Amino acid sequence: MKHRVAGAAALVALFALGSVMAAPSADAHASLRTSEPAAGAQITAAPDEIAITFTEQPEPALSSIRVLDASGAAYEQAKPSPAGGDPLTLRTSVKEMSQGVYTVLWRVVSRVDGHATAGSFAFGVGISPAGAPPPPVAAQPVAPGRSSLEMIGRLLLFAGLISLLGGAGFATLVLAGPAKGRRARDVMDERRDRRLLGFMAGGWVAAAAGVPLFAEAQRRAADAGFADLAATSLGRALIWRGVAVLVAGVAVAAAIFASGAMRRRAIAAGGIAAAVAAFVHVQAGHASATTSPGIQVAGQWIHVLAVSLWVGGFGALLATIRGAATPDKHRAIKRYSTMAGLTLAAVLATGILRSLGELDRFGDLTSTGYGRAVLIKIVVFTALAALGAVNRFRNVARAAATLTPLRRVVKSEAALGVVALVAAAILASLAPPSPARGGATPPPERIVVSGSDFATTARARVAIEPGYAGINTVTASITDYDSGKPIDDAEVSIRFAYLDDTTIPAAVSLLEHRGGGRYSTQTPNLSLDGRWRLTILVQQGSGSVEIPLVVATRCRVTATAAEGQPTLYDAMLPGGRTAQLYADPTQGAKTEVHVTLFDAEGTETFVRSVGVTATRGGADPIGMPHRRFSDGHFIAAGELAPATWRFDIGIATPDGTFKTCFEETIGG
Amino acid sequence: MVVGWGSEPAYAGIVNSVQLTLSRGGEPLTDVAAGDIKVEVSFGDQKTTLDLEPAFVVGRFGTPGQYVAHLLPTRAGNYTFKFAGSHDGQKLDSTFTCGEQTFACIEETVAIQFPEKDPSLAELGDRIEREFPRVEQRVAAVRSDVGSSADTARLLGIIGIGLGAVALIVALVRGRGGKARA
Repeated sequence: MKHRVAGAAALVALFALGSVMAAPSADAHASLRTSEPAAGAQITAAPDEIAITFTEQPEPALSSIRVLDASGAAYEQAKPSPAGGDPLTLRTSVKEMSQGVYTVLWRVVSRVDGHATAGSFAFGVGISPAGAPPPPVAAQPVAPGRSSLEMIGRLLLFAGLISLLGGAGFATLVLAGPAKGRRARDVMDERRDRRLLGFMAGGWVAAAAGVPLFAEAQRRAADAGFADLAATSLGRALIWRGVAVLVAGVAVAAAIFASGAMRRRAIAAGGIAAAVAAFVHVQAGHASATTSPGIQVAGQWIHVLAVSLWVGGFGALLATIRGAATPDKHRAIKRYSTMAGLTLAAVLATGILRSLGELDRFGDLTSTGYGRAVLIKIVVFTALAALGAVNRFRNVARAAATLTPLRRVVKSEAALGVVALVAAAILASLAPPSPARGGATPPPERIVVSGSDFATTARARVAIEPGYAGINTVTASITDYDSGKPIDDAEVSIRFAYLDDTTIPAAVSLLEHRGGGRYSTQTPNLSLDGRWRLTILVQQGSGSVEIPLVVATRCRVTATAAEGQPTLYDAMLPGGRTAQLYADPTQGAKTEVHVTLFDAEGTETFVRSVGVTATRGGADPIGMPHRRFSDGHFIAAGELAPATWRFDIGIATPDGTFKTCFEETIGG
Repeated sequence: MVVGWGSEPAYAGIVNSVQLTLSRGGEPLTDVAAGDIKVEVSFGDQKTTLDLEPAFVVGRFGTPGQYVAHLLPTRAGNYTFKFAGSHDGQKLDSTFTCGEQTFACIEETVAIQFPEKDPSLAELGDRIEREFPRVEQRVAAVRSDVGSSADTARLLGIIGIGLGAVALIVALVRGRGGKARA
């Protein structure tokens, strides 16, 4: 009856695990966090490169970024490479883009867990990407789903390592432990040794089968050949796992043919090799991608070692006590029970550490697949600990008289141990929801422009935050043009020249080196609304390059949209005044731009004159002839092609001239 | 003393000069002989030392007290002038680095080009230098692809010959067996 209950409990646990596996994966591996240009963005200036930031570090050699126009023509110029100083970001340079909608197709393999993800987004240069048909692409990137092969590979590898480590631990700590007045050699008799080594050899076969299956699963996920995979950090970790498992196999084989102390040393060597394989596996997993990788990797490794000694040691106990004399059985069970108690404490402590490292909120336990797998592991762990306690405090004491109650509980423990193993394999294949890698924090509002010098020596990616006229934080990421490696030993300055009024003298800001090819400063040099030429001077040794870029400050307006009406833009001006601006594209072939000035009380107030220019992309501005409509209301008109236009407006009043701007998509 | 380039704004690839104007009590110092004062011009890790010479003849041409050392700055960026020498027993040892508070830094000529913007000689040279290894890399990749295709073809050929030989032997053996049975 008890084993029926245990069997039913195991079935329920397995069902729960199945639900974790079957649930749609809301969490991600290397998922898109942000991109430049942003998904769905309408940009005025064509980009020099596409940069995508992921939630986990992607493996550049196994990743691709394709950029296609509406006809399906490719614009990417090279394989993606990491952005200087930011390993989470991949970038690819693109050919010169004209006005149109572009689709970015990306496919990356996470360096953290080897899983592939893919996706696409669109942006528009000069026009809105909304509603544009996707390009006629035959091969959209498709990320493989959760792989059964990977799960089986992981399961076999885990089971094998646990058996090897547990067997070695059992031989060292239980069988060869300090025996009252007896030498270890006496405790380890030949028959027991053979059974223990048979158990370890079985474990080695499982691990040896798991490594190639796991490697094949990662190769399939990467959609690459083994040679390409071997050249990456993922491939190197696979090779090291294989080498460690091979060494463990040699040690187990040596133990089978050796005897006495040499055999014990060989068994210990097998355990050490399995521990090394476990370390490589942990190092190549999610623990290394946390904010404190040293502590988390150490914690995860100790967790695996403790579980192995506990569960694997339990397997070794079952394998070796069969047919042994009752006093020996009793002694072995008692020692194992002590070891299990200690390892249980280690499993609990390291499990809490890992959960704190991976789960940000308590709700993640139920809202994410990873959290649910952790929850199941906790339930199974608690059940195992309870069964262990029953054995430790009741059945072990009675083992000298009868083993029947112990055997019943042991069978339940074995069933739950299998469930725990499957849960661990699933857990390792899911991505944690930690915001350290995949938070939902929106990217800061900023302007980002990029370019390179004529000599194609260096690339600069400049982010300006917040991007309005006034004080801004300017950050330049400088990388080598070909290798994408950050350039750190340079002096970097930026000259700001105002393009809308060339009589205003240019100003220069020196940037401070921040590491990883990044240089930044806080500067008031973008002092006026409008277009600016930024010349990035990168001086290195006896050489220097200048990288010219053009940016337009962001328009500081409040938009009000109404059904069937043009969007109204309100710009706050000095003295409490407000300029109301809108573009009306419905006047025949012409687009009219309306400019009305209101005073602090909301009454229309006198305007001497206005100047309105329209700019599309990086092109020169087009002047729009204007006429007076009323005292404070002017209308400028011009024939504008369908695109996103930026309107720069100068408003002259009796007590000064003010500048403002807004962006509007015409015919989009 | 007043320090600067002879021509400002100053551009890379255009002949210029380091200019030092000396005066005492509002009166120009006109009796400094050529070579009495030297200027060490530095850019990054590169340095050169030049003699300053009068750029005037009193009463005939030039601005009295103005001394120059001609130089063609080849790269845009930050330059430092270190003046050293002596006059009338008074030592001169002053250093100035370009910047908004001192004198103009060197810029590429692209800012003032009209109507078309052309690269400078230095930029063209750098571009050619950058393109050579890229071309070599592409040629090597093409060669490697061709070599790999040849190797594959050779391997397929050997496999084909091997399979053909095996088929021939099998046919011969079966032929003999058939004859024997007959």
